[in-house]
Amino acid sequence: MGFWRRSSGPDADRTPGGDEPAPGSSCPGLSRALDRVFRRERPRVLLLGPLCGASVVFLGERGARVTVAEFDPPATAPPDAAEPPAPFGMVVETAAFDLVLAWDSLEFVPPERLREVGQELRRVLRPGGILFALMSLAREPTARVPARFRIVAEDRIVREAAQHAEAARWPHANREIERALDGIAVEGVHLQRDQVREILAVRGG
Amino acid sequence: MALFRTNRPTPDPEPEERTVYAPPAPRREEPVDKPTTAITAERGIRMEKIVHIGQSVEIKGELAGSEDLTIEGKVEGKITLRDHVLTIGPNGRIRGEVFAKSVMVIGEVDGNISAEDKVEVASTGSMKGDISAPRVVLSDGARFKGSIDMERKVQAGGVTVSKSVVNAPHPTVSGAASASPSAPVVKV
Repeated sequence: MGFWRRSSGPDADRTPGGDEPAPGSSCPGLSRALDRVFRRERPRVLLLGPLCGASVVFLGERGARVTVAEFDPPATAPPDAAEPPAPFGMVVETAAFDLVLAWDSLEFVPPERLREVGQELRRVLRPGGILFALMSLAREPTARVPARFRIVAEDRIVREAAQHAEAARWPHANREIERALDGIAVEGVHLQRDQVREILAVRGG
Repeated sequence: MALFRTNRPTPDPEPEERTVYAPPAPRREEPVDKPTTAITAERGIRMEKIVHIGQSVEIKGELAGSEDLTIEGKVEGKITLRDHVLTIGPNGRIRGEVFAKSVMVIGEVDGNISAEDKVEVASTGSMKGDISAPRVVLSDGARFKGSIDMERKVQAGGVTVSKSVVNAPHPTVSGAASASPSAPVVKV
């Protein structure tokens, strides 16, 4: 697994050749993912997490067929529950997507259910399909409102407040996520200055 | 030959014809099914029609027309307005497929929309189904669940038009026909 450089240099958020700060923050993992996905003809993209219409249109204008689906994180299983919790599943096709963009999603999955979610992500990705996940590393708070992310360029995103209920969160370690994404090889993890972590992974054949 | 212009005032040009478009019809208690005409301010009558389906009207079946349409009521069935604009007003509820030149969703749509020009889901709008149009706007606060296809195709003669055939229905959340009615709609 490769770890990319932290984009914390003095010019990390500057427009090329200009003094004005570029909007949003750099997102090299997204850039890599889009670069690879748009080499395919009319790629199918699945957006998970709080959604931003501008991001949907951004991808659609570039030729992607974009599907928007609810990501309802599985609940924690109560220790004294008589029956096991309902299995996690997303109502989308199997092996259909070239790219899954999981905005602010995985950190709201309880650790004991993370593997289920990983298997579901593997199910919806085509062989060779790419998973791009974005989540916070911060230990605190233990609950927050998931943010939504506006794609303003292939390599830049703007974080925005989403109209969403507060949800419990778990800042999973990289190795826990790697284990959960069984069959999806993590290619790189990128750490941003605001404790946001990008993960780029590819489903094996 | 006169070298200088005279200061003689030039005669006023013909008054320009100004068109006052009828605003969207306000919510009415009784159904309105007759066309509303937009009247010019000074001369004659402009023959553009805006058909309005009132809030208390419920239609089950296919709806087709060749003029702009605003729906405030409920429609269950296919709507076809080739070359014209369909507006689903704040009280409008559509369950079925929609084909039009341009579609504005302010109310609710449960079904696929295919537009030749543009689909816009307003901040109060709710859309569950697939959108196929070369231009799409999802306003902040709009609710959307489904797929978007913004592919264009070029006809012989170089005229670029939108794809007029809706995607093959997805056997899952993307297709309105297959999406569970109780499935949550994503807040955009």
